[in-house]
Parts: sequence; C-alpha cells; structure tokens
Amino acid sequence: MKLKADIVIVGGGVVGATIARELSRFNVKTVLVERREDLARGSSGANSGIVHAGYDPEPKTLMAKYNVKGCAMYPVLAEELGFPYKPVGSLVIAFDEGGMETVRKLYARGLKNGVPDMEIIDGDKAREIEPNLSQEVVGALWARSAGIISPYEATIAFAENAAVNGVQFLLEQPVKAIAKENGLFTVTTKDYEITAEVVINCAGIAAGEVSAMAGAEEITISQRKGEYTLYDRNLGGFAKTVIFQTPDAAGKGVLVTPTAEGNLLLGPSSDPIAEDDPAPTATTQEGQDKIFAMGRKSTPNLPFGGAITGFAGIRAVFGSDFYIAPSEKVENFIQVAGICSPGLTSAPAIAEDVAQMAADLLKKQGVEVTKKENWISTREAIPSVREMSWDERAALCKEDPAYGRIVCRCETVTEGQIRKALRSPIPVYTIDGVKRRCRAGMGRCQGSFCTPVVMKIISEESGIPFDQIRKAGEGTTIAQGKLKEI
Amino acid sequence: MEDKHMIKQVNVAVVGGGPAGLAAAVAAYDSGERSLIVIERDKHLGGILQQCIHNGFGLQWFKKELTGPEYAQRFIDQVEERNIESITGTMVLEIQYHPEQPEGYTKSVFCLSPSYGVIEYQAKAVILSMGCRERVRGNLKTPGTRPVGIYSAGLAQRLVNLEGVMPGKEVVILGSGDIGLIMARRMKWEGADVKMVCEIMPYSAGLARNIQQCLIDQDIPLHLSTTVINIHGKDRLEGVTIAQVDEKRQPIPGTERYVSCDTLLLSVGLLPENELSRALNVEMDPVTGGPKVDENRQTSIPGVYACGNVLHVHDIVDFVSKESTIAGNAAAKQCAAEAAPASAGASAGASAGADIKAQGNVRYTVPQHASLGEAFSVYCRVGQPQSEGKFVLKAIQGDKETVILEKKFVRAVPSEMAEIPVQEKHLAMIRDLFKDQRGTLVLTTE
Repeated sequence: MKLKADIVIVGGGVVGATIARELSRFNVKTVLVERREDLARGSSGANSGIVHAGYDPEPKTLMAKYNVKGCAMYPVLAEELGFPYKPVGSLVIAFDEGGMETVRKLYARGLKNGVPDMEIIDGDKAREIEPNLSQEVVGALWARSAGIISPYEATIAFAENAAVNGVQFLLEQPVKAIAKENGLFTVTTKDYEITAEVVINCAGIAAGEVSAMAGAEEITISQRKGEYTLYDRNLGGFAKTVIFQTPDAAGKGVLVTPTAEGNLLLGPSSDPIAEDDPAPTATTQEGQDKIFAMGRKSTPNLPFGGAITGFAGIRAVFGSDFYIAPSEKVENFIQVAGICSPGLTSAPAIAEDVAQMAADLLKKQGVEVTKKENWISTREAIPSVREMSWDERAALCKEDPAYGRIVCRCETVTEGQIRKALRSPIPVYTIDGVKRRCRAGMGRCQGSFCTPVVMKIISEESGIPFDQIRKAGEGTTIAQGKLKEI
Repeated sequence: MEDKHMIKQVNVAVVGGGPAGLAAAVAAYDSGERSLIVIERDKHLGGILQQCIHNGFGLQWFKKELTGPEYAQRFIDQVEERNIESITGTMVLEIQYHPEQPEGYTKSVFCLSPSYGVIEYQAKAVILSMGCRERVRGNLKTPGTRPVGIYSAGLAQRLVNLEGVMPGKEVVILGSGDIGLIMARRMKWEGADVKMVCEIMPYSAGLARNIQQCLIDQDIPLHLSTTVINIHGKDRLEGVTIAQVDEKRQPIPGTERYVSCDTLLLSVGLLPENELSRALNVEMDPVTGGPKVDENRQTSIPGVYACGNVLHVHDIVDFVSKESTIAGNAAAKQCAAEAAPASAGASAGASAGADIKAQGNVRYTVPQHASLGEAFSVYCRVGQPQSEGKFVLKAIQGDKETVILEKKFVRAVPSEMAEIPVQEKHLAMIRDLFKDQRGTLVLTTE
C-alpha cells in the first residue's frame, strides 16, 4: 500500500510518541511506524518509570538539559493526558563518608543543572521520609522534584493524543528499506511504501539498523539488561519515595520504589548483553538474586515473598550522551538515538526540539508549515474504577452498566474499561495491549482468572475469532486450536 | 451518599456463591434464617466447580460420585428450592464494620453490579466465602523469558473445559497439586503430549487417587525433587530447563536437562483470596493465609465468619460443605439470638475459651480458637508425611502439659486434611483444667 507523508517517525517508544504529539501541532502529515504490535514494546515499556530530578547527568550535556526540562513538564502532561504520575521525590542514600562524598557531588551537579528543591539530609531525616530505610544509612540527597509515572501508559497517552490530532500510527510494520530519490525518502515497511520529506530515527535499540538502511551515520548501540521484580499492590506502601543507592559506572544502581500504579518495584540490574544473546530480555536467577540483595541493603525489611512477576528491559546506550541531530550524511534524516536513562524523563523536552527541527527542515524543502488552530491538548483517559469513590462508581454505572461488571478482580477493572481501551484511538487487540491500557491481568493472579473473559471481549470488539486472540505479537495466540482438532 | 446507591438490609450476607457460600446459605436457611443474600461475582452460581468437569466429588457429602458441575448444581437447586436470594455478576469490593450501628446491622457490604450499579448490603452477619487463587510464576521467581504458553492449571482447565480450546500440544506441568494432575490427564485425553509432572518436594502435593488415576494410569511420569529453573522461547514457549533439587530445594548442578514444550502449566499451590478480609482488619493466620476463627468459623470481628478455601485450602469439596454448614448455622444462630430480647450476647458460653496452636509436624489448625462451649472438631494438616503415629491434643498451663486426647493414624500426608473430634468428655476435662482462665491447647504429632 502506498502512502504519502511529510514526515515519517520510525519507532513507537516514548521518544517517537512524544515527537509525534509535538508534530501533531503542525499542519503536516506525519506517519509513525513501529515494528512491534503495540507501542512502548522496547525500553519504554520495561524500565523503572522514574521522572528523574536531573542531578545525575554531567552539566552541559543534552542529558542534563532535557532531563531537567522534561522533569518540569511531566506534572502538566500527566494532567492533560491522564496518565498516572506521582511527585514522590527521590532519595540517593549513602552508607558511609564515601557515599556522602558522592551525595555532595550530585547535589553540586544538580545545582549546576538547575535542579530545584534539593537538600542534603542526615540518616534520621531520611528514615523519617522513608521508614523502611536501613539504619546504616548516614545521609541522603533528597530531591523533591523527582516523580514516578507508568512509562507504557504515558507512551500510549502521548501517541493517542497525537493520533487524535491526525498522526497516523502503523503498528506491526517493521521497516525493510529506506531509499532516497530526488530528495524524497521512500520508507518501505512490511505492508507500506511511504514517501516523505523528513525521516526521524527513534528506533531505540534498532537505531543503528535504521540509520544504516538510510545510509546515514554508523551508530553502534550497546545494550545493557536491567532486571526487575514487581511486588503485589499490598506492598505498594513499603517505599514512599524513589530510593537510589549512590550511582556507579554501570548506572544509577538498584532502586526500591513505589510504582505510579501502586505496586512496589525493585531493580534494575545492569548487565551487558552479548550481541548473539537469543533472549536479551530473559530474567536470570543471578540477576534476580542480585537486585534482591541490593534492595535489602537499602531496605532490610524488603520481603522475600509477595513478588508477582519479574521482567527485564534493554537500555540502548550510545556513548555518554544522547545523539540528537540532523544527519550529516543524509539530508533531512534526523537522528534521535542512544536515548537511555534519563530518556523517559527527557522525552517530552527532546520532542519539542526535534519537532521544531523537523518543521524547519520541511520549510527548507518549501513545504508550508503552520500551527493547527484546533489542536487538542488533552486526552480522555480510561476511567479507573479502582481509584474512584463509591459515588463516582455509582454515577459511572448509570452512564454505562458495563462499568459495573468487574472482569479483573485483582486490579478492579471493569468490562467498561476494557471496551474503552479497545475503542481507543490506537486500538490494540491483544491481551497485553488491554493490560497496558487498563491493567486487566496486571495484578496478583497475573490474568489467571480474567484472560478468557478479556479474550471474549477482544473477540467481540475486533471480530477476531476467540481462538485466534493473541497475547502479543505474531505467533502468540493463547489457544493452539479448538478441542478435537489436535 | 445514601441517595446515590441502593441500600438493602439483610441479616446474613454471603460473599461468594461457590460451594462454600452456597452450603453456608443453605445451612443458615435450614437453621431458620430467612433474610439472606448470596453475592456472586461470576455470571453463574457454583464457583470454580463449574469448570471441574471430572468426577470424584461428593462421595462424603452426598455419598455419590459426582462431577464438579453436578455437585454445584445440587447446592444451586437447594438454594433455589428455598428461594434464597442471590445476585450474580456482582462483586463485593469493600466490607465496612461499624460496631455502633443500630439494630445490629454493623456490617456494610459494598458491591458493584452491572444491573444495579452500586449496592450496599447492611448486614448483621457476613460470611466470607471468596475461595482462593493459584500461585503464579512470579511468586516462584522462575527466571527466563516471558513467552505465551505459561498458564496456571486452573486457567488451562477453563480454556479446555469451558471455552473449548487447547492451550498447547506439548505440555510440562510444574507442581503436583490436584488441579495439575487433573489437567495432565485432561490434556492427554485431548491429544496433547504430556511429558511430565515436576514436583519440587520429595512427595506429591496431590491426592493419592489423583496420582494413580491421572498419572500412573496415563503413563505420565512424575519427577519428584525436581523443578523448572529456566524458561525458553521468544514469542511462544519452546522449552524449559528442569533440574533436581537438594533437601534445601536448591538445584543440584549437573542435573539440568532441557525439555522442549509449548505449554507449561503451574500447579504450585493455592492462596486464600483474602483481600477483603485484610481490608476489614480481620485477624489473619500467616500459615493458612486465612482468617483466624473459632469453632463456629467466626473471625476476630463479631458476626464475620469465614469458610471454604478462603479460610484454608481444602483438598476435598465435601469438607468445604461441612465447614460452611458450621458457619451458616452459627450466623443464623447469632441473628436469632440478637432478635431475642432476653438473651443478648449469648456467644462464648461460660468458659473463657482457649487458643489452639499447631506444634511439631502439625502445620496449622482450624479453628485457631474455641469457646469450649460445645463439642467440635479440630482440623489440621501435617508439614511432612508421617507414618504410624498419632495426633496428640494437650492442654498447656505454664510448664505443665496435660494430654486431652490422642488419635492414631497409619499415615498422615500434607495433601490430606485430618479431623480430630473434641468430644464433650474432653471439653469437661479442659474446662476443669483452665477454670475461668483463657487457656492454650496444643496439637502435635508423636
């Protein structure tokens, strides 16, 4: 199928989604292509979900600039787009004088980077903020501007808002080739041939491959694995803030944090991934043991039981800073690569600049770029029945009785929420797609009870037969045939 | 708030319309209670029994071998014959306790229902019968990839028995719990290659009859002291690595073996589903995962009872029915006593009662308290299989131990619950020892 666009964005992670939203302010035709069946399927879907304050990056780097700016943007964005965000603050804890040295260094760096509301506190004050903190903690950096978000819900929210404003999203469309002829790109995906003036590469760990297809810079992304353990909601109150240990060369260290959705999260490890690793996102016994031991160091009462799932994410690392610039080799090809931590925090700020960059390039091509007058800045979120008062629930059920039928008992998700997720601007008809949008199956039974019911609702909404409903991408149908067919 | 949702007053609200809730409701009715509601979250009454289409139910309670749906139907029929009110598709999300509430309606049961929106049942007695859920991979922290094809045995049972689809063709089962054993046979009968059942313990967690009928008779190997230590496959499960474990349940290096499969079923234990009870601040037993109860199955909150798998996980549904009958009778009795003006607060009787504690190889007891008013039974489970022994119930007074009763057994196993009746003559002995003081009874094995 042939499509004509002004701009093609490659990659449906948080970077691609925020850029899509920024571009949707303009009267230009933007198409986003994503190889997986859903948004946020790479690093954006499996990370700590932290909005970092911005004391970590070296001053004057792109990381420092975008981190501090992005951190300040999230409270407004969460309000406008209706994704979970909690301004819980973060602690970097020190166990000895060496640690305090690092804390003071981070504080000084934070000041240089323009981080607001920081304070160096003693161990007792830290334990006042965080009662489960180790008695060994002698002091901490307390950064009030840090927060937590649901990274995949935020990505989906950015994308849906972009879609409402006219950006076209093509899922399950891996890019096969990027050609350029007479100043015009042709991006060939699985089913589409899309012509465009400008291509933006935000393909995460695949940024190197995409750049190579276009004949642009050689980008060697190195990958690191971060393993996590997610705990039951009833342990969500165990940590009140984001608890970091002092960082080292491998990263920001293992953290103990509440999630924006009310669970307790432990991780990440940070281990290099071999190039030929067939399962880079597999968890390991060593990794899980390591993060547990590290977590116990910060909070000795961390319970061994109560875990409901483990997962691993991949960090795309390219040098020591983000790589955000128009290609010097291929005109009108914009590189947004190596967006590792603090990429989630930085994304909205990066997107503003990249969108402007793309708009300027279009103008240079003689394309008229104007701002939309009727741009919609807000998104209607899926109601969270769990978070509602009884009065609010009663009112919602009057509007639509489907909000009175609980499907996912662990997370209190109703049929109404699931149907709304499936009727969203970018519907994804998979079990995991529903899970990411409204949390059905995200809880302590991990979908053991609700999966068949969710499958039925997906089948009704999409017309896909029950036995063809998938968990995620191709080759992941829940059923492998009907009875008596084997 | 009152004008925004429906409020109804009932004497007894039963939370959950599975085997426990239905038996409790029928018992309460038969004890004279007429103001009852059974609240069920599923579309139909009967609970998890509706997907247990195999036989083996009812031999104790109905003296007849029934399938799960048949067993459930007998209770559904009893509920309908008595015109006991029930509401389905309706889930209880919160129970509040207001001791100061007039006329004894001290519990507010808040439900969400597609037909009525929000309903609040104000009740004198609440019977908790929410059942249990299965442990999942995350609870075990089994490392590896996260492909499709890993299910709890119960989910696979629903897919096969109620939805008519096969989750896979090449099956490994981790855990020898009864649902896993039943599903091993079921999947084999439907044409799957069921390769093995792995059990981390040196003995099976399932009933002996299920080991015989579902594994041995079907030529499905059971590997004891063996567990899954890694999971492989990107999109769909491709295989698992299994290994033997030592006595500390740690994998023994060198025993690892790759087994290809597209389906891994987990039957690694059941967890009483007590989120409502915890939010209500009912006192819990960390071993059973259920509330602590007295011989009437009353929890630490007066007028709140618990029965069935929400109280402790049962091996046979017939015992659930028996236990729930106790709770239903007690709830009816409580409401009748509250209605009779003369005998207010007739609960514990003359004795101050006793705590019952598990010791040695006895892992837990139900009940955990007793008023010592009437004869009752102590139910228990052992931690390790034990042969040629006896259960011993002792009264503890300081350093002094007095043996109250002994019950011999040929073999006690963790998968089978034992019953130790405490008769009137034993009660007399205990009351005599404890006088008016609250005492401690200990159950152990020798």
